[in-house]
Amino acid sequence: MSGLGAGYPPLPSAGGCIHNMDVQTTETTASSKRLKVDFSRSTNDRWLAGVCGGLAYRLGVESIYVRVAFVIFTLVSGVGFFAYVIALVMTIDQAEDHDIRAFQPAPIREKAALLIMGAGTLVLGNELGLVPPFMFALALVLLGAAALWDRSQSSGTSRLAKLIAPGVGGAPTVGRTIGGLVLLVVGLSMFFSGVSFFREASTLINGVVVTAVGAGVIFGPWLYRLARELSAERSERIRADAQAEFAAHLHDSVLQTLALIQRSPDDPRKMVTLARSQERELRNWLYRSGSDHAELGPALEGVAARVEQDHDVPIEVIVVGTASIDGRVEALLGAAREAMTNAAKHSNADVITVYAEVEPSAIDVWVTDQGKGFDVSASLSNGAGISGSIVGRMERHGGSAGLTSTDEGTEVHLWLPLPKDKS
Amino acid sequence: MISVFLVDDHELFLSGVRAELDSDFDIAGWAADVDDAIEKIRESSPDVVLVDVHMKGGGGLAVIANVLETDPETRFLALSVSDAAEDVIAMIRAGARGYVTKSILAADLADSIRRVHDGDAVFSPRLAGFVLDAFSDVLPKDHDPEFDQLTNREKEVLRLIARGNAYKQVAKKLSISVKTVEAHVSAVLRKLQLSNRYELARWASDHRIV
Repeated sequence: MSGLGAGYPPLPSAGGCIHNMDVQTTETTASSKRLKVDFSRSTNDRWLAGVCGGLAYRLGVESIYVRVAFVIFTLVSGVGFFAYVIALVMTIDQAEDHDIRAFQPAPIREKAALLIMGAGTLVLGNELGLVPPFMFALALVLLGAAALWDRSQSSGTSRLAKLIAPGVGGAPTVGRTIGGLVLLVVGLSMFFSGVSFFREASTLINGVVVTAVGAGVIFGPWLYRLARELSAERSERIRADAQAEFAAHLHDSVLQTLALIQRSPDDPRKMVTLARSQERELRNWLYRSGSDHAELGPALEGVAARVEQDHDVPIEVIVVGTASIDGRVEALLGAAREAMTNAAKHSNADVITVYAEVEPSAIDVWVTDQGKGFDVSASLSNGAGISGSIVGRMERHGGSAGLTSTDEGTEVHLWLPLPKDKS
Repeated sequence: MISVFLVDDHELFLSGVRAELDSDFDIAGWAADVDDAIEKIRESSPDVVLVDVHMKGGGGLAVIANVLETDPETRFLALSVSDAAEDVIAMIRAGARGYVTKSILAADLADSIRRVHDGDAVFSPRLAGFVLDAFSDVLPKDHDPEFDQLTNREKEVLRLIARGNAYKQVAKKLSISVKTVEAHVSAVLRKLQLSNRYELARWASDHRIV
């Protein structure tokens, strides 16, 4: 298979396309499965990270109800906030999920209403003592953080940033950053001054803790997104590598063989052999990669493949049981190859069958063809091939070889006893 | 004339086989997917169904299992590019009366269909090899008595088939009639379909099938 087009074709060849299709199918299946189990964050109905929008879509209700529920649960007990954060981490963006929809900002009126309602509830709850002070602080931290978190990669701006500074789009502006930082710092100080443990601790410790938490709030989402992108990139690269290997292999093997077959349309025997050897090779590559050539089965198939290629006769190999290869089994393989070669050269048979059976005490190999047969005794006395490399070889290693041939075909039976301590 | 139904999701192969069998058999119909196949086979009740192993929606296994539920007399011959042990054994155990690979010659395929129609089993050399492999493992002393062993005669028959002999040649070599060879082979097929116990499972796990 040489001399025909060295070098690979450009990658997006037929093989590549098929592979692409395959990958896409897998992804669709994965995403639909995910939708069944939970929900993904909405990209088009999003104020913060799209959790409420996604959940509302999943539940089939108006997203405003889900938002109100989250706000109420957050203000009364704080559960809503933690639920939101957990949902944020556990779910993925629809954008990442390849479900790309047009972005539609929520109406300003709706936002303002909710903001006023939230603020009112917050202040009212605070006055009545229903909302613990730390929740009030937490709400401020959340607002500040939301202003700082930049979601420019997926949809342009943080929804909350728009809420705080309407009309501001794109990357965080100086004003928004300062506003966010102020909210964050005020909220954090309120939070920590409200907890008795921190009141009694030294200012230094408080400073360190506040800074650490603040930094976590500011950079956490960014680090998280970075990690996620890195892993996505890595799996993409692995996929691309596999695809390249696939394309290269198809080019080296299948395309070359198809080319050879087209060049020899007048020689059906040659065509059959080419198709068979290609089939054998492709099967090995697809299903038995890394199969051990130190085993009798693969080794015998390898021998058969070479004889098949040299003489254009198909050889069926069937092996029952397994045996590892040592010097004596090596000799058995040599004798088998000689028997196959003889059958391929002289019998005129359409197909040669090789059957090997490993038993605890011995290995038997039969090489059978249904060809024209030959005179066994005459060949044994003069032909060096049969007497030397088949019969003699087997006998030197403690085995034997039996030949029967009629005009309906030839059968060579090789027998090799195995040492008792083995198997 | 024997009526034959073809199930294969490979359009090119389907039309090729159809053309090959058209003169000798009554083609009752064909289908390219599992659901379509089950429906049309029930409608046309063919004598023999040629069924591919790997198809979307459950493959040949689903076709055989569903049709045998309502029409237990339908005979199946599995036809596949795969010669993997797990596919072969699974199809036989589902109820297929034989398993041949797609590289089979047209004349041999026609012969296999007739054989399956007559109630015999079709054992290719490779299938015979798999069965010997599955049954010939050295059994522990306290092996399950319910597990059907192959008789020595059955093993001999299988070995001769695995060595590439046609039924006629097997009969000649063992000095028995072709009918007796067919009886042995059918008995082996029955044992393979029925014995679902410990030993076969062990063979399967040894060969990384399950």
